[in-house]
Amino acid sequence: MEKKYHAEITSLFQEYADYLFNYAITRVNDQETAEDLVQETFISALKNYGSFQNKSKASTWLTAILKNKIIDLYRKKVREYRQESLDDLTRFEDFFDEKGHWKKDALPSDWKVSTDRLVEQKEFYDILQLCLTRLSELQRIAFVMKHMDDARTEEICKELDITASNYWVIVHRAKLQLRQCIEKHWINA
Amino acid sequence: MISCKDATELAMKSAYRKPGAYDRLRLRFHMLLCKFCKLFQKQNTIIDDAASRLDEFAPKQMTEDSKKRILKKVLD
Repeated sequence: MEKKYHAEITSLFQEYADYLFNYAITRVNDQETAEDLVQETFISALKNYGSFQNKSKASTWLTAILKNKIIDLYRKKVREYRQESLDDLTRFEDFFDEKGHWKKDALPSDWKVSTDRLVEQKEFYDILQLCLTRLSELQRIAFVMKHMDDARTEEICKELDITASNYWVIVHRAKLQLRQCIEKHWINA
Repeated sequence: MISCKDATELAMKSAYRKPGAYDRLRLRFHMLLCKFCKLFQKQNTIIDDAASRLDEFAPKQMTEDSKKRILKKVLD
């Protein structure tokens, strides 16, 4: 280890650890995993500080390292997941009948709040977070990648090693589940 | 008329990229007649908006103890 970069890394850590932790936890939904990712990120940063030398913005550099670590983790999780089957994530019986009509207990109800006000409320985000944890790993990853990094579908499919049509089916079902979960916790609370 | 299952899928996809003219027409026609899919579409937009702003709305921090522990491991 290059002891000479310890001071630089310590100061980067103090400045960016919270930011990176926050970036990680919204993507992995687990405190311990997010902390590990932050740790891994700074270990890489220390190792590669010599080639970085403030050539780019530190926050950009650190975020790029973290992002790669998150993608690696996603890949690993998806590989584990794919030992099982996609069947559960591509079934719609809970929501629609065989003709594709809404099932009675899955019918959306009117949330009766103005859209603008709803998204300003902290509770709504807490419920969204909670409902995201109720999704399966693959569903959450597919959804989160789309939303948080504006990643293109082809890239996501490549990273997750799924076909585009499977991807849309997974996100469709995930959306139905999320909507139902939010309705249950927010509107009927 | 397309089914609610297809309409919700189309509505969900449309949020990411504009569908072709035929799909747009089919979707609009379905939404005109089906208040449940219309609700889905509206709520889907809310969920998308919120999801893309999760970062700013749900900030969490590490404890000082965690930070100390992690920094120590990094520098070890």
